[in-house]
Amino acid sequence: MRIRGGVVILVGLFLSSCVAREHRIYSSPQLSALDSVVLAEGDSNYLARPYGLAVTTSGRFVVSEGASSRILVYARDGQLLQVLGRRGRGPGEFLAPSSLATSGDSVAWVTDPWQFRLSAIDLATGRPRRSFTLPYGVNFVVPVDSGLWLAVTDRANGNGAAFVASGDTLAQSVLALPRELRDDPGLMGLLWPTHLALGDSGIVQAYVGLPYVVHADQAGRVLGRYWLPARHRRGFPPDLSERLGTLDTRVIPEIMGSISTLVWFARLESGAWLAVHLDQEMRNKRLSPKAAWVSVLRSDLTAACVDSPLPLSSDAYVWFDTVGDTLYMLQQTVTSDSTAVSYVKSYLVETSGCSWLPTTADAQLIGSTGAPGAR
Amino acid sequence: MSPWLSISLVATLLISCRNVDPVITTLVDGRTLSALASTDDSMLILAIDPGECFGCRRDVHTLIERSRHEPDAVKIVLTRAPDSHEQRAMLIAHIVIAGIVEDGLSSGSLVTIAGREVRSIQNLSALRARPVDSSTAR
Repeated sequence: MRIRGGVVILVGLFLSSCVAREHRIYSSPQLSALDSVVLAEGDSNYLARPYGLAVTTSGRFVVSEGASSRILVYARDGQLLQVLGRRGRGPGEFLAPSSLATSGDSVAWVTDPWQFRLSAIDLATGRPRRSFTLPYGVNFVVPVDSGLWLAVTDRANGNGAAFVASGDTLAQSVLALPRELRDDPGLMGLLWPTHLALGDSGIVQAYVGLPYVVHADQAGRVLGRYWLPARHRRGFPPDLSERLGTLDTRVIPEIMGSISTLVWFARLESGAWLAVHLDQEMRNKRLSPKAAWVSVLRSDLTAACVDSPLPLSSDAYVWFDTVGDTLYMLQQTVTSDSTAVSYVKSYLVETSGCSWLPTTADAQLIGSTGAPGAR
Repeated sequence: MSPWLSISLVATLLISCRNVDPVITTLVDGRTLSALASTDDSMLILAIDPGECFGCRRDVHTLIERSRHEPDAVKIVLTRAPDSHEQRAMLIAHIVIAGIVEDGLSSGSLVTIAGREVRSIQNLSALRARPVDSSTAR
């Protein structure tokens, strides 16, 4: 009996050491669930096609609603507070409100790519404050004290970022698009730059369909490129970015369905950089989110802790925002009684115990789940 | 109705090229298209394939949105029964389906209840499955 007990203990110790060794092999960022808030919807105020989420400093949720061309503002408990704007081309009107950003608690910046317009709305009064019509599409806005940083798709000049100083109406383009995107207008439209984040040492631009981010100073001089290694997400074939310029644009949906696309990039309060990748799958010729992964880059971008799985149960595309060190995610799903529900989940992102990987060009870009397209 | 929609509808009415008989065209539940109309025979019926990208075309997007707010002015019918994924996608998009056409209408067909095809929205299938349903994809 004593021997049998000893064997059990030894086996237990062996298994726990294996688990510990596995744990030592790779540790992803820690995601601590903070809250889950259902957004109230009614007969006339529903979220049929959200196209952006922004969270104010006081915790209100601002959502761009593409179907009705309006902006819906929710309290932190999900109650609907305001419905702003309507379809149109006038002040305070939108054709296709999309990406959003908030300045503190009072102003929401709204991109409207169908009319190349960027508008500021006063969240207290619901009235428009200011708007720009730009010669290119704006993908993402980062308000700062001195003006606005914009991630743009400037097809004519191949620019990827711009800056609008406070009081100006013209944007100054500052960062060229990577060659892979610049060389082919078709691809550029599909793999457009997504996000721009600001740090003490400049700006970082991230792209939906490229495996690296670009670090530049505020004059647009490229300081470095940093590759995001993969462990658990699908990843990205190292040679794909080189081949993109030669591919038929019709195969892009299939490519997007076989790689991990970068869908959110932001700077955390801790100084580190946050990236969210989405693994999607083709369902009935339509891309649907299958898995989401959170990665963090050190503040100097030289190392990354990657691929923490983000719980995902969405029947539609997902949208993100970051405030402080908290990641917010807007999802939509259908309940068992065939009701559509939209909700925002929030997670605290921490990197204690993280395994850091180098972000050099030879970083492993394909995850442990197999080669892209293998499933 | 927006000026854009008014102009396009008037223009397409003028160049209508084919007749669809709403009394003959039936839904899978046995009703005819004409049964969808309450009183107004100017009602528009847009037929869409449930696998289409609903928000990729501005004209389709506008008509679907109008069907939500003016159900007596625009109705949406499907060209085939949706599968479970498509059903969920339409529930999330808050698309109200008036019925499923048995045959006779292709995706993108826009007809009046009086039976006149006012417009065929071309190349809808080419717009399926945009790579990322993101802001600038529209």
